[in-house]
Amino acid sequence: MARLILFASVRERAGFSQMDLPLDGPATVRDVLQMAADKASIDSSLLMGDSLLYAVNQESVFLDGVVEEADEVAVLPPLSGGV
Amino acid sequence: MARIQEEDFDIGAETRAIAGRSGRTGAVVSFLGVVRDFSKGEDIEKLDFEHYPGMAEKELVKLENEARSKFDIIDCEVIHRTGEIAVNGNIVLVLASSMHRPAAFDACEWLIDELKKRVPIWKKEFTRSGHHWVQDRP
Repeated sequence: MARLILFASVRERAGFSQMDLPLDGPATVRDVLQMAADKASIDSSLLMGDSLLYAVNQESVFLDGVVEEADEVAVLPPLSGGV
Repeated sequence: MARIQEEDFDIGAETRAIAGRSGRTGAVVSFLGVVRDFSKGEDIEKLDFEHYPGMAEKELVKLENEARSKFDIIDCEVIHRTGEIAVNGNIVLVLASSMHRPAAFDACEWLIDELKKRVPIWKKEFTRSGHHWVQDRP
């Protein structure tokens, strides 16, 4: 099982904040996001847009980053901390 | 040590704390970010900050460690608030201490610039007509 976490604008557009997804062996971030989009019946472009960043276990990765059992995958919209 | 917290911070206490960490300190430079009442021609009523718990703190600690090796500073500290903050409220405090002022000025500016690019924190603006997440990277 991998856990997907969404933040800010992506969370609001997707309509959920986290989802647990069963993995059949190692997958990529892209695979996990496609599975989540299918399960939530939303367009996968909501989770894989050009401006989005991704993290696995709180380290930045690209869409082809590897996801293993018990990993935490996050979709990060464009950052806007500070002032 | 970097902090992300809902509660407000005390600028005087934080400044005195970093200044007091070493007898070699000759300068403390601070940057305070506050909520302004306008954005892109619209009146702002408040901001709401969300962060990625765990990753945001880790990225802030990395930034502080990088600043300590990149600049000739004695110490630095970043405190960022989350949750809803009204106009004029404190958002972020960056402090850098050094023996001589140039290093502290440089580190302080570098820290706030890098924070905006690298730390997973998001800002929602509330105006009279509604609210929206700030998407553009400055």
